Order: sequence, then C-alpha cells, then structure tokens
Amino acid sequence: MPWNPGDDVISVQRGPRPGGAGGAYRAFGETLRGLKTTFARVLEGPITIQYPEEKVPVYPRFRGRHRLHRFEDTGLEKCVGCSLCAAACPADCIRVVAAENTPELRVSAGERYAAVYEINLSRCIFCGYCEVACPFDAITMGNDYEMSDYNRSDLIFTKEMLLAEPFDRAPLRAEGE
Amino acid sequence: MSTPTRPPTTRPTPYREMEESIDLSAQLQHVPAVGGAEQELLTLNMGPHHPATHGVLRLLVTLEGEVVRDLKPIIGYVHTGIEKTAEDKSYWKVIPIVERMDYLAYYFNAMAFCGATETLLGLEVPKRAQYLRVLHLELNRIMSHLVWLGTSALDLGAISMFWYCFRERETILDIFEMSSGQRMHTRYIQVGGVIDDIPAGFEEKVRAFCAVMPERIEQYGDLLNKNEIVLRRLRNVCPLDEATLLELGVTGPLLRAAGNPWDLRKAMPYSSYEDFDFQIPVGTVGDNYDRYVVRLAEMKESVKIVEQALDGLPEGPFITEDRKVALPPRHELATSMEALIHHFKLVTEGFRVPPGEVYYPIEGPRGELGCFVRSDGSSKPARVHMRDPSFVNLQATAPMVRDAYIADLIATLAMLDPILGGIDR
Amino acid sequence: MPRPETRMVTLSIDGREVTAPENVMLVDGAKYGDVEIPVFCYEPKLGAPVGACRMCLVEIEGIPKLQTACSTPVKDGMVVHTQTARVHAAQEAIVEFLLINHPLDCPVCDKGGECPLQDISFGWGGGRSRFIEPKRHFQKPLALSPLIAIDRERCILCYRCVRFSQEIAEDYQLVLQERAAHTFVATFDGHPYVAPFSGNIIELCPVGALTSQPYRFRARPWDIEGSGSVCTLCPAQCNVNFTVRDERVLRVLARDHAEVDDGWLCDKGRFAYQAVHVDERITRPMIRDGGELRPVSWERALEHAASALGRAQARVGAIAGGETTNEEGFLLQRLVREVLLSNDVDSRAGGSLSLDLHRALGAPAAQATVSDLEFADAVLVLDCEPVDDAPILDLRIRKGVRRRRVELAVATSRPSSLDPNARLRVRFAPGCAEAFLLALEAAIGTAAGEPRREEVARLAQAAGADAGAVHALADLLTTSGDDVVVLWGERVTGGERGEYAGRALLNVAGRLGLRDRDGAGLLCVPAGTNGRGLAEAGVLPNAGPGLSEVEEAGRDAAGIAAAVAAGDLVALYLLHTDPLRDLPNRGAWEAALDRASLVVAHAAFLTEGIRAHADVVFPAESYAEKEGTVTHPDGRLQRLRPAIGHQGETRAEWQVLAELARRLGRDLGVHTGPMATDQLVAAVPFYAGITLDELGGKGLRWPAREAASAFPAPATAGPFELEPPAPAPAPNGRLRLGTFRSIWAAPEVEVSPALKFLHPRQRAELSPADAQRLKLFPGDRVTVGSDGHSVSAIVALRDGAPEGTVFLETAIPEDSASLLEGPLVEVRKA
Repeated sequence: MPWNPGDDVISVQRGPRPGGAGGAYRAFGETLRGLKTTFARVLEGPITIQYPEEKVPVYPRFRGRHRLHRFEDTGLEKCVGCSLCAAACPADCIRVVAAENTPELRVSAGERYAAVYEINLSRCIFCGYCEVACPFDAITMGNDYEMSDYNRSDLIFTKEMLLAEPFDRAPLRAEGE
Repeated sequence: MSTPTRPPTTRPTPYREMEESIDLSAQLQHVPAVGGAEQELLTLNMGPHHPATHGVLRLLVTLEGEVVRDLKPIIGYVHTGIEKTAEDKSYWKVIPIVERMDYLAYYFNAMAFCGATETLLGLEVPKRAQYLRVLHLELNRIMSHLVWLGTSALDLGAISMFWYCFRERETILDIFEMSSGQRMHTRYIQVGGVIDDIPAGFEEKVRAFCAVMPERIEQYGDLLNKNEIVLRRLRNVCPLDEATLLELGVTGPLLRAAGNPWDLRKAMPYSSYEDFDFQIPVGTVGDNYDRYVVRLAEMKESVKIVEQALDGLPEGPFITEDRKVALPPRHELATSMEALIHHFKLVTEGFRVPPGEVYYPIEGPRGELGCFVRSDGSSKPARVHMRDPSFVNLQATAPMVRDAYIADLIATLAMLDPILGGIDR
Repeated sequence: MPRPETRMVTLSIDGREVTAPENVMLVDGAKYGDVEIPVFCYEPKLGAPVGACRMCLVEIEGIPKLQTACSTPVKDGMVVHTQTARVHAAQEAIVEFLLINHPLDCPVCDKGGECPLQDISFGWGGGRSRFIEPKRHFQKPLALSPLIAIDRERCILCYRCVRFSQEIAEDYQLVLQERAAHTFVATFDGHPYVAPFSGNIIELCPVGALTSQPYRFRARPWDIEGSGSVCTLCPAQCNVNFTVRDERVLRVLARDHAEVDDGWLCDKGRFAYQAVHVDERITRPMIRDGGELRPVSWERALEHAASALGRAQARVGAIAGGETTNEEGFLLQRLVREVLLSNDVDSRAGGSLSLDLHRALGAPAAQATVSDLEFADAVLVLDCEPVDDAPILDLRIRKGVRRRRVELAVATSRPSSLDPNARLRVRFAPGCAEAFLLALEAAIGTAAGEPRREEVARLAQAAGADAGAVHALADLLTTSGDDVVVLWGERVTGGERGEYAGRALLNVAGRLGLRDRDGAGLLCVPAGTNGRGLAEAGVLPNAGPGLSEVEEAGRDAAGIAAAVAAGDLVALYLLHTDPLRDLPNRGAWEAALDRASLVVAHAAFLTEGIRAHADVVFPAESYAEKEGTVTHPDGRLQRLRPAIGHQGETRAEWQVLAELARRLGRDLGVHTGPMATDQLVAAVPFYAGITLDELGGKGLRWPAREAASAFPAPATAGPFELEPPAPAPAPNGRLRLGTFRSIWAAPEVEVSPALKFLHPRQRAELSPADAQRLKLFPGDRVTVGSDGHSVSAIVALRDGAPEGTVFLETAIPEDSASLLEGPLVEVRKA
C-alpha cells in the first residue's frame, strides 16, 4: 500500500447468507419491508409531468435553440457577421457569410452584417460556446427544446428562422438568477 | 551505406480476418462428461445490441450448459474518434468533446482534461472554483451511481428501483441545468476554473437535495439490502480477489469492494479534496454484493462532501484571473480594447500551452480516470488520451464470470458498471 | 557587384548562445536562436528600419537604456535580454499606448484573426485597460482607392505603407499628414492611390487600417484555406497564395520567393483573380450554329472538333498563347505534329527565329537570374518596359538601384517608368533595336580603343538614337563592373529583322563578356507568360521539344495567317490566344480567320476574335484550376497547383488535347496531369530527371542543374558578321509608330469588377514638342492612321518621349494599334 488511509476507511456491512431459515423469513419479512417503503412513496404523490400537454419549465441559463436578436429601438440586427461564433463552434455547425451595410440597405448597426447565417441544428451539440463568443449578445441560446423534425435539411436554421419569435415559448422557472 | 528506410506498405487493417482469427478451438474441445453424457461447448454471441450489456458491448460467451467457461468482450461499436478529434481543436473546444466520452461522468472527463491542461500551464485555480468543481463532481458521482443502481436493479428484476433512482437523478440534472444550462454535457468546468458562478437559489436547491438524499439511500437499502432475491443473485457471486484486480489494473468501487481502500481523492488529493472530511467505504470479499454496498455507501459520502463544499464555499473569483487563459469579463468587451482582443484571440485561436506532457488522474465514479495530454506549444493539443476506468475494468469480466452461471454474468456485468462511451471513445 | 559574403557572429540572447550573420538586425538575429521579438514597423523588405513603433525594445548589456532590436545590428559578444522585467514593462506599455486610440472594431474588422496587433497584444500585452477617456475619431471607412479601403482610426502609424510607396514602388503618393495623434495616412494630393503595386500595402499593414475592397467582409481566417500556386498573368510568374472559401478564390496573397518576386505582387496579379468567377467566363463547350456560338455537350464539341480536324489533316495551323503551360504546349505540338501531321505550330508573336539563335539566346551560360538584377554592377533595360511587361522586375531593378547602387541604363524607344532612376537614358526609333545594338557594339569597341567612331555615328543615326548617348552607354557598361545584366524585351527580336537583332544582341553580350559569368548575362522578357517554356517544349515551327531539330520546319504565326488567308491551310487551332488581340497585324489575321473553314479555340472569355470566328470553343481552365508547370524567363520551372475545382463544365486542357488525339486515332498516353509532365521531362533532355516533387513550392532553375549540359549547343554563339540595317524611316511630317502593351491590357482585367476601371483605352503618347507642333493638348481626341486604317485615341504627353514618334497600345479590344501598319502614321485631331 503506497499510502496509509488511516481511519478514513469504513467497512461496509455485508448482508446475511441467503437461504436457510433466515432466507425463508426474509422472503416474506424483507419483502414486506420493501413493500412498506414502496407504499410510503405513494403518499408523496406523483412527480411525473404530462408531456407534451405540460411543458417542462427550464432555468434561465438553459441552452435551448439559438436565437438571433435585434435592437429593440432601431430594429437593426445585433449580429455584425463577425463569425466568432463559427470560430468557437466545436461542431462546426455555424456558417456565416458577411456583407457590407450600405446606406440603402442597413441591416445591422456595424459596418458589416451577416448576409447568410445558418446553424445546422442536426450537428449542434448545444455547448453554448457561440453565445459565449458573441461580443454583441446577438446570438443567445433560447429556451426552446422542441426541435425535432422529419427532415435533416429542415434542421438547418437560416437567419430569418433564428430571428423570428418562437411559436411556443418554453416556460421559464423563476428561481436561479 | 544505409539504405533509406521505406515506410511499410500500408494496407487496410484486416478487421474481418482479425475477427475470424479469434481462436475458440481451445474452448470447443470436448470436455469430460458431466453426469454420464458427453457435453459440447456452446459459443453464444451476446450483443452488441443487448439490453443487459448497458451499451453496445458484444460478448462472445463460451458455455457449457448454463455455465460460462470463457468470455471475450468485443468492443468498438461506439468508437467516436474523440481523442483524434481533440487534436484538431483548441484546448477550449476540446472540453465539450471529451465530456462526451463517458457520458455519465461528464464533469469528471472535463475535470481530468482541464486539470491536465492547467498542470501544463502551471495555472493556479481559485479556491472557489475548486470547491465548485468538487460540488459538481460529487453530484455527478451520485448521479452516475444512481443510473447504475437503477439499471442494475432492473437487470435483477426490480423495476421500482429504476423509477426511484431516476427520480433523484432528475433532481441532480435540474441542479446541473440551473448552474450550467444543460442537464448533461454541461462544459461547466473550464481551464482555470468554472464558466460561471452558481446562480441565486442554487445553494437552497442543493441543500434541499442533500437533506433528502441520505434518506433516499436508506430507502434503497431497505428495498434491496436484505431482499432474498438480491442476496441470492449477488452475495458470493463472482468474487475476484484484490491481487487479481490489481494485476488487471482495476480501480474504483470494484477494487474497494475487494478491500483495497485505493481512492485518488485521498491518496493524491486534487481540487482541494484534502479539505473535505469523508470516508472510503471498502468491502471484504469482492463479490457482487460488496460491489453493490460499496457504491451505495459512496453515495452517502458524496452527499457529505457536497454539503461540506456548500458550507465552506470561499468567496473569490470563479475562474482564474490570468487574461491569457480565461475569457475577460463580458462587461469589459464594450469598453476595453485589451479585453476585446483577448476575447477574440481566445475564442478563435485559443491559448497556447507550453510544450510538455502530463498525466492527470482523478477518481471517477468507475475508478481512476486519467487524462494524458501532450502539448507541442501550439494552441491545440498534440495528443489527448483518456485512461477510462470502464475500459480497464472490463478486463476483469472474464475472470469474474468464469465458471459462473450465465444468469450471474448479467448481474456481474451490471455490478461492473461499464460505460461503452468511455470504453470505445 | 558580387553578393556580399556573410560572416557569422556569436552573441548571447536570454542566456542562449546564438550564431547569426553579421550586420543583420537583432530582431532577425534572434530568430537564429528561436527567440521572438515582437515588431510592427520592421519589415526587412522595406529596406532600412525606422524604429517607429518601439515594440522591439530589448535590454543590451552595456547600454543603459532599452534599445530597438529592429535597428540594432548584431555584434560579436553582445549580451541581450528580452525577458527581463524592464523589457516586459516596456512592451506592455507600448501595447497599451497603441491600443489607447484603437477602435473596438475587431468583430467587424477584416484583419481580425490574422492581425499582428491582436497577436502581439495577446502575446506581449498586459491584458487590462486603464484608459477610459474617449478615443480619437476619424471619418471611416474611406476608400483610399477603388481597391483599398482605409480606416484611419485603426492606424498605428508604423510607416510601412508610406515607406512602400516612397522607397519600394517609388510612386511617392502616400504620405503622413498632420502631426501627433492626428497624423493620418493619405495621398499627397488627395487623389485616390492608384498605382501598379498599390495592393501590397494591404498585406504590409500590421493592423486593419488598409484593407482590400474586393475582399471586404468576404471571409474570416478560419473560413478559408490557402493554396500556393503561380500567377500566370505575365512572364514574371510571381508565386501566389490563393485564399479559397467554398471553392471560390477570394483573395490572392504573395508567396515570398526571393528569386522570383521578392514577396511583392502587382495589382493585376493581386486582383485579377476575380476573373475566375465572373459570368463572362466560358464554362461550357460551344459550337457555332447558325452563326452564333451555342453551348453544347462536351461529347458533341469534341466530336465536332475531332471530325473537322480529321478532315483538315496536315492543313492545320496551331498557335499557343502565353498562358499555356509547358505540358499543354507539349501536347499541342504532339497533336499537331504526330496526329494531324502538320508542322505549323507556333507560340511567338514576333515571327520565327533560327533554331541556332534560339539555342544561343537560351543557353544556360548566358542566362541571368532575377536576383542578378539586384546584385549586378550595371543593368541595361533594352527595349522593354518592365512595369508593363513583367511588373515585378520593375521593383527588383528599383531595389538594386536604391540599395545596392546598381548602375541602371535604359535603352528603349518608349520612355520608361525607370527613367528617373537610370544613370543613363537612350532612346531609339521603334523597331530599330538592331541598328542600336550594332551601334552599341561599335561604341563598346571604340571604348576599347578601336577606331569605330564613325561607324557608331552612322549606326546611331540609322537607329534614330543620339551617338553621344550610345558612347556614354558603352562607357557605363564597360566601366561600372564586370557583372552586367541585359534585360531585353522579346520585341527586340520581333519583326522581319528579328534574327539579325538577336545576333546583334549576342555580339554585344560577347563584347561585354556576359557569357559564362555568374551574376551577369541576358534576361529576356518574353511577350507571353510562358514564352520560354513553350519554346523549350517545342511549340516553335522550327524546333521540337528541347529545341531539337525538326525534319521539316513549319510556318510561324504570321506565315500561318498568310497561309490560311491564301487557302493553303484550312483550320486553325488556338490554344489560349485570340490572334486579333494578342498578335500583331490584325488585318492579316482578320482575313485569315474569315477564310478559315474551322477555328478551334480554348478560351476563357469571348474576346472579339473568338466571338466572331471560332467554330468550336472549349472552355479554358483558369490559372487557379490548372495543374502543370511553367518556365520562368530565367529558366526556373515552377509548378501550378489547382486551388479550386474546375468551374462549371471546364475540363483540364491536357485532357481535352489527349481526348482529341484519341478521337483522331492516336493515344498520346496521357491519363493524368503528371503523366504529361513526365512525357515532357522525358522529351526535353535538359529537363531530364525533374520531378514535380523536386519542383515543390519554390520551383527549380534547370540551367543550374547538371542536366543543363544536355542543352543543344548553337553552331556559333557569335560574334556574327552583320550588315548594317536600313535606317529608321524619316518622319517627314508624319510620326513613327511605336506600340506597347499595357499591364492592364488583359481580358482578365476587363472582366474583373474591381479592376475594370483600370482597363486601358487607346491613347496616343506624344512628346510635348510633337504635340506643340501638331497643336494638340492632353485629352484631345485624335485619329491615328496609315494606309487607310485608323484608330481613335486620346492624346497623352510624356516627357522623355523621343520626338517624331507616337506610341499606341496593343492588345485592347477597340482601336488597338495592331490595326495599323507602320512604320509611319499620321496623327490628326478628330
């Protein structure tokens, strides 16, 4: 033993030898004790949630489906197409193609904007690094966790889809934050 | 004159041949008659899709009647190439990747990798971050053991245990979601600390859990400890002695069940484990029953550690203040040029790690989880290797179940608790 | 001037013993010991350091204050510290100062991710800001030129761009205006910075102050892949790095090669990549159907071309354009000679030279290299304008003159942009290089004591040159040193008397002792990018691969035109060339193309000749898609590597040529690009043994290899007995016609959105004296005519243009000078 554990060690209690008279007792006695435990739980009531009628609420930090944001006052997109999210993504599921704002077409507040912004949700691992990387809080992980679809190609979310309000908001828990 | 060495001609690895070359002739020989009639050995293929293998594990079992004469685990069905993938990502981006190896011990995977990286960087992790790590690691340990207990009991035919265990697991996952935003693969542990401080209301929630959990563990014991079926299925079934286990490199609850109190949290404390008061449960015989009780007792100890971590949680930063490693605070991004540049460089390229190599072992729920990292001085690791305890422990299956009934093989496999994600990586 | 020998010195940096060449700056010396010292303003390519940014401060024992490592040469026994607290404090302070006024633009800045300011701040900066006051503001973003955007807030005043403009390109346009924190980079007069080399400042800028307009917001460093290749837009063959995103070339960067481009690029090379992805590009095969070119399948186009060529047999003439690679040229001449059984294949615009002259001019012994231009004692620029013909050589010559005190002489008909740097300028009449060279040879003889003064006077007059200047030139070339490099344009050997001009050039070279001397020699600027390689691959009417003898010499380009017009040839095969655009004597070619019953062309763009006359058009690969080799004028074989896949339905040219041969009943045995290279190497004795791997990224000069001894020796390399030529025609009220091809005269420039504005219109360059006599002012529209042909042009005055001469552009779509037949033209106000 390369190290002396001292008194940090406790021996666990071994159960009795199965079978024999004890076994016969236990087949009834211990089973009843177990049943008592089980029935006592009935009093605690059910903890199941009737999904999908009832949605599981999420915490504020929950990382659900991504959302892109606009400035509330000007309506301009917060995203400037800097691609930091694409650089940070460990799954390489974000594709950004930037373009320049012109006086006629002003999309974002900065010089550039994202002409193409796509997230391939079938590759996304929801690590949230895009959110961490974004210097403008333009992309955040939203609350939605219902993203299944029948087609892989439908899981490539475009900029318009990410900017739009989700149909069903997932409920948010009050606690935490 | 030395002739230039030519690289050996490469040809595809002959997997098919390798598999066919598995020689079973020794086991197929005729064995002496039992009870007068001559019996032949039967080779049975279990898996890779078998509910009792806890993942896509394939077992080639040689049976004589109902008795297992030999067993050969065949792995690789969930090989994901994570170690190789890690070589192509900056250290920051490796964290969520390695988390996905042993999918029940994601905090441990991240901890081993971050610990290794921090050692290479020579980085001091703030005390608060260390406590937060311990808190989450121990919750993760309980969570992992709960999954083990629930599914193992299910294998033995006890379905209520499954519901109970997953109920408590749900509470822990909620706690994880609260602090990090995800229930699994949280990437909460980062190089230099943790990604964010715990939110308001977190402590109450964990305390509530800690108040309930010991009682719950008692209830599990009530249901199982002296249950005659459990005793018959586990007690004195498939024991393996300490010496053999050590030879095979088995660690964790399996080794402790055989009486060896080897626990890295005590033996080589990391992340301030020396500050915590807890005990190492050890068994005596090393049979399936000991394996079961040791884990049950470990959960109790873990709850104690979580409570101590909350009690003693020091004030201070939750991540290192070294700007060359940790991202700058978000509020500075709008005002400070330095912060913006460091944020940009850390996110896109990542920090560089001095050349060197390190092995950083921690005590995972299944034993010694070690992370080997070699750095070539760039911002991506040159090699990442995980010593996953499931992989090593799996070797002990054959010696354990040899000459046992095939029904006990299922129970033993459940008590072995292998996670195929960690084995195949 | 021989290259300086390097002595090594030993010094100590951070306690390590470092051996570095003497007199290199500490920044560079430290690299020999793997010590990195951060710099912003220091760039060895820009010449002497200025020490402007102070980022490189280090501690040197014995000197009390910190020193700038970029301007301190290494010395024996020096003890340097780069890791002390003082140095760290200084570095952090400098970074903090630089960032005080730097805007928080990283997320929108194109430099983000490949920005030295970011790298150095991250690597050496403190990491925390103390500055909370408002930052300095400028109007931004602004266009410094249509190609370059300037953001003055981001500028850290490192002087790099200004130094480039002032000391490398010497266009003297960029300056720093105002003082202190308000200093900003601008052009002196406020006009856009338009210059042939302006794009280099984008690459030089260590921050995002100068960014490329065409690349603006196109991609981030982590979105892109780099792919090294060679630019084939001019004979300089600069090494480039294509930036590729999603199978599109988005940017071209220099790939520093000291023996080729010295790390610079011209704007054509930097921005004409856009032509790869424009709608004008032909990406499908086409066949003329009812008078119009219509897209068809490859199968139909190949079948049509093969059957028509099969019918024409032996009566096919083929011309290869300058962008043709060695392999394509080699396969073309195989197709023509072996399959079609014709001898009429050519790649030279200026007419045929004797095989012996080709061998004498191309001999390895008389070959100068590009870097010889920098280290020579004297350089003679003979009848070429480097900035138009091979732009990067212009910078190399300027570097030699500025830094190594090379004596430069310019002997051309048209005034050169190098005139101000030249010790001596000699003008002669257009097309009179032969008389001029004879005069020069005689003058060199005179300088050596031979009594040939009268001969010089007579020949100089015949050349339309000043005899005194010729004597001065001879003096300069004979007295400044032994290493003389003659950079001569292919137009010296163009025209009917080209053969004799070439011999005269060899006589001069013999007189100057340029043969068999390292560091001296001749360097030809061919008219086409790969002129040298095509000649060596056998795309000449009188020479096979490796300049070997052919049984029966064929017709040259002019001969092919005449033969087609006369009906002796019926089909034309045009590989990357439009004769109306690229070849002289447009009239003859129009007649030929009209008469030809079949014109097969490989073309990337529907230039006028292709649009009007081609019967089958195969889409040509762009240089970013090509695989193969080209040969630099100094004999360096360089490898083209595909950066992107073939656009549209484009196919590799070697594949098309091999397929045509197969359909005509002959398998050329080429199934991959490298197989064509292997065949070429096997067929050219002096390329023997060269492999693509050996060429690698930097290429290989075959004259420096052992196999060069297999180069066929000419029967005689001179001196030749030469008759004096006919004198230059006297203007007699008219003007002599000189032509030139502008750097911007290329279809790639025409279609590139960013470069379009530079595409030249015809202009008549006149001397001020002639303009005064003709009562013309700059900007006047004139008609220049001769023999019933005329072109319209805008008058431009040029100091230094010889009197009695007008210069017009060729290779432009409209009003090209190739419509006119010289030598005399009339200029009239329109």
